[in-house]
This record gives sequence, C-alpha cells and structure tokens, in this order.
Amino acid sequence: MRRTRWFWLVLIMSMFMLVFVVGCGQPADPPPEPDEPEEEPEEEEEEPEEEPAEEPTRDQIVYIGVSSEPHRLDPRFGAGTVAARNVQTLVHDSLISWDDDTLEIEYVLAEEINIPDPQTYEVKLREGVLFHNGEELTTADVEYTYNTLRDPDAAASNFSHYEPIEEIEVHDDYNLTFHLREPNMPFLYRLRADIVSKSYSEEHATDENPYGDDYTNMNPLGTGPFKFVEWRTGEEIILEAFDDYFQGRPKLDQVIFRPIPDATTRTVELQTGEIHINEEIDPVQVAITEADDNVVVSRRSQMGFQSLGIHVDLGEPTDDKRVRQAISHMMPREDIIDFVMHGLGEPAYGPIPPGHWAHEPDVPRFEYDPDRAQELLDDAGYSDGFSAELYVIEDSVRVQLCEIIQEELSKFDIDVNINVLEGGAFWDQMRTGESQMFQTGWNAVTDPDDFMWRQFHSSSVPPHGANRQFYQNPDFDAIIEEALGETDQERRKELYSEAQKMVVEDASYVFLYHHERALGTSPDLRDFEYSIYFCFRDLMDAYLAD
Amino acid sequence: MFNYAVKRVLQLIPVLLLISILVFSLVYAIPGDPARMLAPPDASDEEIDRIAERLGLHRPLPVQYADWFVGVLQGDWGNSISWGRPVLPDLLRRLPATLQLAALSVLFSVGVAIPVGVLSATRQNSFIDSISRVASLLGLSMPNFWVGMMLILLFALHLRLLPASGRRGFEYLILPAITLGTSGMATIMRVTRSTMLEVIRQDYVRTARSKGLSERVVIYKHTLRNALIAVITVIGLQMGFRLGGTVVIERVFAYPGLGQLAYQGMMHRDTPMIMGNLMLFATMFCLINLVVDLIYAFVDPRIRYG
Repeated sequence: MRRTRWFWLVLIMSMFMLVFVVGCGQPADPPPEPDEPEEEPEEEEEEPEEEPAEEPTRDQIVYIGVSSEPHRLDPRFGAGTVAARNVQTLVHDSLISWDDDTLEIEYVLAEEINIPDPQTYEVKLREGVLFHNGEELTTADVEYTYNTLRDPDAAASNFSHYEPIEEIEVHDDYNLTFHLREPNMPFLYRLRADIVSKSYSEEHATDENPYGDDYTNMNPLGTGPFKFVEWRTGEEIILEAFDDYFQGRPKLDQVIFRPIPDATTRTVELQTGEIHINEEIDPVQVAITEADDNVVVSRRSQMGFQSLGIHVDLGEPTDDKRVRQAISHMMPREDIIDFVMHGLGEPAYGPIPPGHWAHEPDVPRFEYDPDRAQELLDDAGYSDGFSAELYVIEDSVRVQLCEIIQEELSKFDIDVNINVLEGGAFWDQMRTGESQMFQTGWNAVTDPDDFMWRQFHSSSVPPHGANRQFYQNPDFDAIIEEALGETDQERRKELYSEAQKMVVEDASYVFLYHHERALGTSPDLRDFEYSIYFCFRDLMDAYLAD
Repeated sequence: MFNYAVKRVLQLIPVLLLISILVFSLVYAIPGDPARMLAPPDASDEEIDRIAERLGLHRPLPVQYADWFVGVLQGDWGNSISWGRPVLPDLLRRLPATLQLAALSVLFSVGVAIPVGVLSATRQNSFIDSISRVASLLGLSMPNFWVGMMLILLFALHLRLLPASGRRGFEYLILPAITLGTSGMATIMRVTRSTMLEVIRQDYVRTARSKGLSERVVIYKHTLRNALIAVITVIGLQMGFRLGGTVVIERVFAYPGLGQLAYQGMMHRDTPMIMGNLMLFATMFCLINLVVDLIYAFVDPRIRYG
C-alpha cells in the first residue's frame, strides 16, 4: 500500500515539474540576435579620416517602450489607437504628411496634389515606390485602400473622415482623382490614410473576411521605411529597415516595440538603458526623470484641449450664459496644470491650441477672477448657488481634475456631485445627451473644422456627433459651413477666428488647458523627434551614436 | 485512487459550465461597449453601431452564449473582439509563461516559509521568531504591486542586478516570482509556525523525546510531518490565488502571460478573451485542488480515497 502511495506522489510531482520544465523551454529563447550591421567594404575602413565618426558602429537597434500593445496592425482597421499608429506609421506611407508645429502639408507618396475646386482632389503618385514584397505601388492600391475606408460594411477606422468621397476616378497607374459629395477642405488632411497593398490584401481575403484583415492585422505590409518582421504578442513587435525604401534605407537596422504597461517600469527601463524611447512619461515622474543624465525628456503639445462641458439646453441654471461664463472665471487654470498635470500643459481659453495656424489669441479670456464670477452669478440670480451633476470617466487624472472643479465651485455654494463612470458607461451616458456637466478632451486634431463641427455644430448633437452640450447657434453654423468649403486659407482663418470667439463667448465648454505629453529618449538616440500625428516616423532618419 | 481522480476530473464539467454561464452574463452586466472601445475617440454612434454589427454584438445574449459554447465544443474558442483573431492560440502560447511564474513563486514561498516557520516554532519567542513574525506580517500587509515596484527600483535601477521587465531568460523570472510569492510566503510561514507549535505540545512528541530520540528526528519526523496537512492545504489555496495575482504582477513586470491577456480582455470587454482566460484559470484552480487532495493521502496514511 505504502509503495503505491509513493508511486502516485512521484507521478504527480513529476507531472508538475514537467509542466514547469516545458514552460521553461520556451522563454529560454534568447533575445533575437540583432542583425549584424552591414559589413563595410574594406576600403572605406582604411580611410576613416575622410568620414569622421559619421558612420555609427554600434548595433543600430532601437527599443521602444510603449504603454499598450496594439490590437490591429492593418491601418484600415486599427488606426483608432495610438498603440497601432505607432507601428503603422513606420510600416506604411501615406499620400501626404505634415509638419507637427505648423501643420503644413508635405508630400510623401503623392508627387503632386491639385485642388481645382474644393470638391475635387487630383493626386499624382510618385513612381517607382515599392511595397515590402517588391511590387510597385500604383493607383490601384490607393483606390483599394480608400474604398475599404469608405465602405460602411467594412466598419473601418475613421469612417466619417472618408464618407465625403463620392467617387474615386483612376486615370492611369499614377493619376487619380477624388470626387467629393460637397466642398470639403479638411479632406486634404484625410489624405494621410496609410496605403495598403491591394494584391496582398486580396490574396488573404476570404468569403468570411473580404478585406483580408484577419491576416493583415497580424502581418501588415506597406511601402514604409521599416518592414514588419515578427510580432510576439505581449513581448515584442520587430520591424526591420526596408532596403529599397524610396527615400533611402533608414540608418537603423531594427526598431523593436516592447509593451510595458506600467509607467514606473517603463521609466526604469529607460534609465537602465534597456529601452531607448519611453513613449510616455507619467506626469508625476517627469521631474525625477529630467534629473537623470541618462534620459532626455522632451515635451510635445498634444494639439488638443481638456475641458468642462456644460449642457446649455437642460433647463436652469446652466442654460444661462452668465452662469457658464462665471464657472469659467472660477477656474484657476495654472494651479490645475501644476497640480493635475505636474506642469505638462498650457492654460486654454479657446479650442484651438497656440501653434496651430488657425489659433485665435484674441478671444474673450475668462481668466481666474472670483469677484467677476460672483458678479455674473448675482446678475443671473444664483447668488445662493445651485447643485449640479458632473460626469467623468474613471481615470485618476480626470477625477482629480473634477475634484478641483468641485472644490472651486463649492466656494460659490455650487454643489457639484461627481459621477465617476467606467469607460463604456461614461460614453453611454454621453450618448443620452442628458449630462449637465462632463469632463472630456480632444487630442491631435488637424483641420480647424475638426475642432468645430463635431463639437459645436447643431447637427452634431447626440447621437450623431459630439455636441453633448447641445450648443445650437445658427450664426455659428453658417460660419463653419462656409469655412468648410473655403479654398482661400486666409479667408478660412478669418472665419474660424470668428467661430472661436463665438464658442468661447457662449461658454458651452469651459476650456481648461492644452495638455502636453512628455517623452523620454536615450541621449544616444540622435536626429529623432516624436510627432503627435505620426508617432515614431522620424526614426527613418535617426541613428544611435556611439 | 485512480477512479477517484477520474471522478473528480469529471466533476469539473458541470463546474466549468456553471462558471461559464455566470461569467458570460457578468461580462454583459458590466456597463461598457466593446465596439465603442474599438472606434476612434470621436467616432459617431452610427460608426459604433456598424462595428458592433460586424462583430455580432447586436445579437441577444443567449444566442451569443450558445454560439460561443458550440464553438468551444468544436475547439474554436472564438475570435477576440479587440484583436480580431482566435483567442485559443494566444491563450495557449501564454499559458506556459504564467504556469512557470506561478510555479516558481510557489517554490520560492515554500522554500523560504517552511524552514523559517519550523525554526521560528522550535525557537518560540527567540530573536529569529520575532524577526520572522514581523516579516510575515509585512509580507501580508504590503500590496504586491508595490512590492514589485520596490524590487524593480532596488534590483533593476539601483543595483542593476536583475532586469525589470520582459521574459527572455531565467533571470527575468526572479523579481516577478518573488513579488508574487511574498504574501503566500507570509501565510505559509505563519501556518507552519502555528501548527508546529500545536503539534509540538502533543503527548506523542513528549513520548518521542522521552524515548531519547534526537531533536532532529523529533522535529522533522514526528512534528513537521504531522503539521504538514494544514500547510499543504494553505499551499494549494495559495497556488490558486497566485493565478489571480498574476493579473497585477504581469502588468508591473510587463511579463507576457495569461494575466496580462485577462487584464486587456477586461479593459476591452472582450468576452471571448475573458471567457477563455477564466476557463483556463478555473480549470487550473480545480486541478490544483484535486492534486492537493491527492497529496493528503501520501502525507497522512489515514486518508484513503475509494
């Protein structure tokens, strides 16, 4: 009896150990051996004086610590998240790109774009651009990409951006024209959709999966500076320099993304040199990180704003403009930025951030002014305050922000009840269009229309758009409708200046701050600048110094 | 014994079935819309509805459950909502990582806790005993993600001895395993100490001593072996908890295991992913319990399974 018992014990234990050992087998995979830097021809090495130290000798592999792992890499379907854009902007090219600071258009796959009228966009493609599988890019690929994007059944990312397309007319291999339903100037910025290969996508399409995205989401293929090599979920996404890139092979041999969700861990990994870029430094850690010589911290405006939305059509007292302006006067914006964002931001008095070409500095500024706030409240007949419901998404920074708002408003006997809702529930609440106050923000917006139409146009009230404050102003609508089709940039700027003054004056949004993002890089990484719109794309020119 | 094991494994089926129904309904009871999370932040409601339709989320709950259930019977655990690809290969690929981490953390906690617990019981109220009692109190009260961060700061940043994140070799397992094992270690240590103290006062221990047996034999053969039943129960439970702990710990250490998948699945209301994860976790939990029950029989010859 005793012997069989021991037999069982040994059996179970050895099974347990087996699981352990089998488990061990896999991770013991050594990190992928970095490709040797391409061997230099002998002659060049003999004449090092001629090219002094320009040619880097260390392994040109950049590790990027990212806060979350992408889900879908095919840019037609996964362009909604920064995590996916990080990879897509390196693997793919788009027709155009633009400068982060000025938003001036630069041509990438397009050689020329003509806009004879604001409903017609003629594009001439660059010739001789190759996909990573060696096939040449033609208008068929561009047409295919945009046709997927505007196909309602595809449920692609950013469908609303491409809905205005009425027809895509292909003239030959290098020329095509987008015909739009209505005049639409912001469409120029929509030409940044990453182009995928038609033949490659169709090759993997099935009856059940007509766009082939089940495959391409895991194995993207584009014309970009880096080609996709391998994705080991949870561990790494490996990209490799594309030798035949039309703007020249990148200096880096590999770019490897490592998802590291914890902000502290990411900071430590950069400090210890395990990664070269920390995608996002937590505001709390910016000061500590800046003190470390092993890290270069840079700040980028997110080209957006954080705000307190106020429903203007939900009865007293928030239907009174004076009450909303008073609330705007109650906001100590500088203190909020210091306390909530640890200095990562600039006070906001209007929607369009400074730096954007359409920014209007001359809007009514409702600066922190408790006396003026009380005056406005008295005028409106709310000297004794009132009570209000405030909705916010579950996020420590946002909740903190709302607590400050609550505290400030309480000084005027306005009793704010904060409703903290988890992501999905929050958006469901927003969908009802019956939220008296809510905290939301906008990021990386391009055309001034994006700052305006979806948030302030009468037609954008839920469930159609994001005008959750039910702001309805026919004068304002007329101005931005005109601006939408205006081809003259100066005239457009004037129109949007007018529009900005209106939305600020009417105060359906209390603008709080334009937020910034802090990014950490290794001092060895040279010639790289992060882009709010194109993420790590600049790595195509970067290199690691010795 | 074999029959008993088979019977227990068969009992798993109704248990898992119940868990699956419960979890499936729970995921839907949580407010939140997976389609919304796939869409860009400024997407309109029409866009979101279209995404929901493409994913089949507009169908009634029982239909979705039945669809999932039939799939599982056929070996198809469904496509992840957020990743858009089958969940099973991902789960299986990550299972070893988590098992390994859990196993190592148990080895760590048992390896430290039992000797220290024994030592502390045999030298009750000594200096060592006080230290170990304070240590176990600390181990229990510190939240494990915090322990993880402190270990990272100490060993990865200041001493530069161990890597902070990833999984590319054995050294990458050390910090997460210690973090995961800390609270379990504290519990096991306390249980070892208290049961040892109980047993040590038994008459048969006094008899053993008076027979003139060496202290070593008295402690290890007569006391520890009798105290083990309680200790094993705790170890088994701890192993189960350990699986839950991986959800937090794997995030801190960017460790590519099931825990991170579970977390991401929950953040995205990704039902097939959550279901897959929970089915695996539940199965493992039940199997661990079974193994513990079987081990009782070896430790205590009085226990028999028919």
